[in-house]
Amino acid sequence: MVQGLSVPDWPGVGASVLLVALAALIAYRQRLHLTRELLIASVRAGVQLVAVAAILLVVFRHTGLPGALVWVVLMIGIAGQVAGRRGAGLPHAIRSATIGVAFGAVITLGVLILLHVISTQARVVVPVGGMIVSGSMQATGVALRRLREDARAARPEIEARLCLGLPAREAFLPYRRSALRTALVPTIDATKVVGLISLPGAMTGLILAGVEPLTAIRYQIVVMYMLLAATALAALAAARVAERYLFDDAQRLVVLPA
Amino acid sequence: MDSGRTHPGMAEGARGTTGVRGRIAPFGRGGGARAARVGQGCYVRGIVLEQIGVSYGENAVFTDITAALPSGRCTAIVGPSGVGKTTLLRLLNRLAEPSSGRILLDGVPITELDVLELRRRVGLIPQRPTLVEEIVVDEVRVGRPDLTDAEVLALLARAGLPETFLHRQCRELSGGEAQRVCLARGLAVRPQVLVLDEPTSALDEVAAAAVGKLIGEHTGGGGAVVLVSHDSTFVGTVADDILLLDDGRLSRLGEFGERGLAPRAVAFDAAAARAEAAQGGGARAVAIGAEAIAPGEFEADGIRTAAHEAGASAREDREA
Repeated sequence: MVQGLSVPDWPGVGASVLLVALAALIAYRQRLHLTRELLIASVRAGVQLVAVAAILLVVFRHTGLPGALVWVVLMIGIAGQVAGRRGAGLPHAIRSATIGVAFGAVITLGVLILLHVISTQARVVVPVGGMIVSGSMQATGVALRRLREDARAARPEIEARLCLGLPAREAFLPYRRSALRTALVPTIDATKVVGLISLPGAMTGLILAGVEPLTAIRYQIVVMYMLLAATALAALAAARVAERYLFDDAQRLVVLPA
Repeated sequence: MDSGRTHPGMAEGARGTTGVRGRIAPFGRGGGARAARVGQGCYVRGIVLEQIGVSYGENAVFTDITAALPSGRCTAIVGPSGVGKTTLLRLLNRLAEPSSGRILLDGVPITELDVLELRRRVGLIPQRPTLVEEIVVDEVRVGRPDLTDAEVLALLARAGLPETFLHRQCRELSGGEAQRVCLARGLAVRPQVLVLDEPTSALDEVAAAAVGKLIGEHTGGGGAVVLVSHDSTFVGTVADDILLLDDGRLSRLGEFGERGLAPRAVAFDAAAARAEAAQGGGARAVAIGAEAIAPGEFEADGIRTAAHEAGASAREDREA
């Protein structure tokens, strides 16, 4: 398969810098005040990717599965920070987000590995893990943001239920549901239109690399299914953890900073 | 609390605010009918506040409030806006926590009760009617999903709503109708203490009369009612005790005669009189002891006028 790869060589990459120059020229001539930023972004992207490639090279060649899993754990940590910031204002938002992403990623990746759906090679585990963590991160961020908005706006409704002696979990149930719906709908929609509107990343990559479309879609199907599970699990876990921190021991909705 | 001990704060509070004579002492642990009998033959059940204080950081909302909110009586808490009346009510079912002091329900500190049980026994109906379901019948069932349609109808009727409301859309209700649906929803869990925050703020006189009747039934059945209201006429009609919360202190404003006895004084306006008529003539004694009112000492929104009127009419009554 490696022989059939139709990937740009380094001179090719160098030639593509011309395109950056083209964009920079437009920005300069049109006085967009973006030239500097555009050039920095281009250099930064190159350096970042080279660095990541170097690390991945080490992981793939020398550390095997354990190294890949360490890499996935690092991604989970970063994703937790990013998604947690979406829920800023919720108590322990980052912890909730990290637990959510970890829950979704570990179960999904674990099932894929244990059922031998994907190989345990680092070069497979890292990118698949990346897709799973990224999907979990987005769903978790959306869910937490929605929870925070509802916990603020729906305080009277939540307290109305608490006043009737309902436990916090029941009083908050409608809002947990709506947060989960909001988090899952984008993934479900993407699953519906996959291949029709967009050729998703994994499939595009395989096709670019010269793999037959019928082979490429096998990977894409697995990717879509695993993303559904990962987003559902991650959003659910994050919402449950966040909900626990939203109520105190006396089943009271805590005061959220404005 | 062991049953031989007397709580000084409680005894003082009960004496100071409700006129219950004698030492209030040992309460049995537990709730409901197991309230202890007091030495001189009066039962005291319900809620006792012991040296309650609430403060946010440096700012004290109120400090050292001691009072009894006994069963069988309706206690109204009045006072200017923003003095913490609603906060005080929220302490009763632990939607808020006092910074100091403690609250007893039938002699048991409420922090020792299961909080869900506490909230069913102390039913707080918030001021702003907040409906959470789509149709009225489901709304009334939120806390009691097992209720039959007939039971829901009975609850609506107690709150002053006809049976046509059973399947009405909640979002189409007026403010006053929503307020009464909230009341029916709160009654559904059969609270022992009914805590009403501005129960008539959106109600017309006839609807307010229905709420007044309901309060009378609740206290008559041995329950306690605690309410906050700016509606002086309503307070004058339904309250057995009036407590003024102002300047961080809770003081007794008035005490009405025992229910069923001849009224010591009556201060009804036309609406209140209609309310009485709606109750089937069970005339409620409404008397604010004139001596308890020092004119100019309080400015409790609309209450001032009413108390003055009531005081005047009490005086006239005695002279006559």
